[in-house]
Amino acid sequence: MTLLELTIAILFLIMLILCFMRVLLALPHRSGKPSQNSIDSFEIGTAKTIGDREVQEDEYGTNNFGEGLMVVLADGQGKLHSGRIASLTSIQVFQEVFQLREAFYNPQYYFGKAFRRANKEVLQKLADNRGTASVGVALIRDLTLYYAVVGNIKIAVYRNRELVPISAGHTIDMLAKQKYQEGKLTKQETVALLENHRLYNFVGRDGFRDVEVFDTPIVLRTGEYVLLMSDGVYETIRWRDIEECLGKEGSCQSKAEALVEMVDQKRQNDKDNASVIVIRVY
Amino acid sequence: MRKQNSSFQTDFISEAGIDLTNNDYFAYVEYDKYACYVIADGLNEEPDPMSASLASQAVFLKFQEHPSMSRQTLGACLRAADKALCEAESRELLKASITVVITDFVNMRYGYLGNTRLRHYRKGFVINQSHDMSLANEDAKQQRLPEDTLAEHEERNNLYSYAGQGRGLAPTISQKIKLENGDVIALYTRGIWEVLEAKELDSIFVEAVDSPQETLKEVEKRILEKQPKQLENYTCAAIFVNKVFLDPNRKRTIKKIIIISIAAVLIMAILALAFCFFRYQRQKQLDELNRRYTNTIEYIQDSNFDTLAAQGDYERAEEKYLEAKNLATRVYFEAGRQDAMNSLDDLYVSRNETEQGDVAAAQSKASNEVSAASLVAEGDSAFAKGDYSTANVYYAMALEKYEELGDTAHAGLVQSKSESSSQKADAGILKEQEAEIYLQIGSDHEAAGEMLDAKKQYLFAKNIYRELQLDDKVAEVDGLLDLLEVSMAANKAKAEAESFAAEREAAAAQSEAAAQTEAAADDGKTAKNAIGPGVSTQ
Repeated sequence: MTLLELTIAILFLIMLILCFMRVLLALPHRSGKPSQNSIDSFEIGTAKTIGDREVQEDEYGTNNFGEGLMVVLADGQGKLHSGRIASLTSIQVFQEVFQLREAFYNPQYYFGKAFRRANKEVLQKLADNRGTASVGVALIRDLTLYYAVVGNIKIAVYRNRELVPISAGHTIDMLAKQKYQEGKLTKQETVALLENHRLYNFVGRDGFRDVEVFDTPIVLRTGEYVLLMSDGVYETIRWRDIEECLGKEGSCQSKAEALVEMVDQKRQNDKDNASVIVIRVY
Repeated sequence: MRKQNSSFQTDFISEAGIDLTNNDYFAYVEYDKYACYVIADGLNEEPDPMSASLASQAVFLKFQEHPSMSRQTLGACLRAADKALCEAESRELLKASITVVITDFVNMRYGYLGNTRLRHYRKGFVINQSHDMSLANEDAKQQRLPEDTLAEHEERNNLYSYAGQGRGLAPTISQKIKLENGDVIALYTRGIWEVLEAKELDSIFVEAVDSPQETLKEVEKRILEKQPKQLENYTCAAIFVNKVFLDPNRKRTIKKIIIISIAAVLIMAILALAFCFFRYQRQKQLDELNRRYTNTIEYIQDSNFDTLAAQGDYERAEEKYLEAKNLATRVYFEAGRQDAMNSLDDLYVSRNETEQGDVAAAQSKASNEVSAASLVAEGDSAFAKGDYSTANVYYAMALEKYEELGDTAHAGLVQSKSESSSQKADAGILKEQEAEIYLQIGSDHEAAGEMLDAKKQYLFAKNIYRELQLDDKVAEVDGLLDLLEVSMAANKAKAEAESFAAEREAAAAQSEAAAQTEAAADDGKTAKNAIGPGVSTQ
């Protein structure tokens, strides 16, 4: 065989592999990977559903280091597959950034760094087809929760049979409240805007700036749950139902699946993709 | 009528503070006889003012069904509020703090869930206040660490009792509190007490004037003066009790109540006494039963009867057996009863046997007794007759019998009797001997032809015999005397015949003989009187 032929053969092989991977990735799967990583201090459960959409644009990634755990959830939006690419890209970036050990000890800085890089890469990849993603990241180390959110990923902590939302999110209603407290909006205007849950900030946007980062890290207690949810979950099912589900017995994985099942069972038109990550700390 | 004849002034302030929406709620309703005041604080974070108003409305609906001031009504109202929040169709679980005050214009009662507070003032003092149902962590507050969102949330909403809780609901309900003219009741939510200290609030209300509006304005002013960073929804209500309703029928009502209560107490006392009495009786009966029961057991287990029976004390044994049987019967102690009956039967048998033996023994004994007595009687009669020897014999026999019987008393008696009879017998024998001598002398005289002397002697002897009661001897002497008479008569005839010859001599001799006979008779008489041995009338 000549060198040229060899090269062609290798390239062909690579292409086959890539195609295979592509096909794998393209398959819409509902149930989550059974990543029951009960490594000492964490238990994780993940689940997602496509809803009534064509493409699953929700993605998640977890990085479990000995010292801590990083989970990232991204909810993509865009034409064709651009939303998906946006969310995948974001996940990848975060996973890469938080490969560094020092990132775990300086989450605030590295959150910002990761978001900015993600934004840049998304914009680069999707020059024409504008795809965007809401990304929420949670880092747990030594029973302390550090988080950052762009968009409408909700991070909440389950304590004392109550699910308390931690992140506010970048939706109009939250912005209005904020502006009202700053004095830039009147109460009436604010109240009027309270029903609006439209995104005003997301990854993959020109002029991307605000990242909601924790003020004070949340001190967790053993046995508590941390939830990351895309809007498909918390907009569809009732908050009290989520609380009830978490209050029951079962593993994190079973709970995540139960939550997603509740979303599926809900009779609603045009349900969005829904995904959830349930983490239990010990 | 109550409402009209009393004066209760109510006013309130309720603002959202920095929050977008006001999730507090205050409302009140005044009926003719009752009034109800409700303050509620919604605990949900979402801009959702539903919880407080839902809870309050539920309370009013419940109160309306049956207006009263009882503890049950208040409890029911609070539970209705809780139920309304639990069952509400909402995105999240609704929680609210709530305080309810119900009054009949004379007294009041309050109940609460959560951390809405109540304070009751009278003449410048706080006489009643509610206590938060929160699990506030005092230690954390003192540390003053920069608190994270979750901790803040926890601290604020950490109530162990609130409306919307569901199970485990335990509202706090007060006693019935009597109201007086000039009382002030203040109801307020967290927005107030987070900013104002209790003392500050007290100082405002203590100086309260007639209208509540002034007081509340003052409260608001103080709060805003403080300029707290986070002023959340605040609500404060004040109820001024200017005039309490005075019941004109009060005295009559009180009298009625007293009479009824006294009657009730008396009836209760009587019933209690009767009950106690019956119990006492029953207890006594039980004790008696137990005692008899244990006695029965003892009896039966003892061999008491048997020893008694053996001893021949059949009476007592029988008694005991019968008692045992009765006891056993009473106690339904069948086995025991049977035992007792068997023992009783045995007892009867043995008793019969002994009785027969006894009877025989008694009979023989009796016959012995009888014979001895008869012997003594015989002896006595003989003694009386003068037959001392016979009496002695009898006495001896009787003595023997008595000694056989073991009757020492009678034996002694008999002994003395026989001794005396022997004495008498001896004496009698001497007498007899004397009489014999008389007879002898008499017969001598008779032989000598001294008839009269002989007769005399014979008469002496006869007397003695008669004394000794020797009748046959007496008869003998009489015979002798008759013979003597005959011989005397013969002699007399002979003498008469001789006397014809010598009438003068005979007559003289007759008269001599007659005079001698008389003298002999007289002498015999005198001699009779002068009895003694050897008195002869020669």
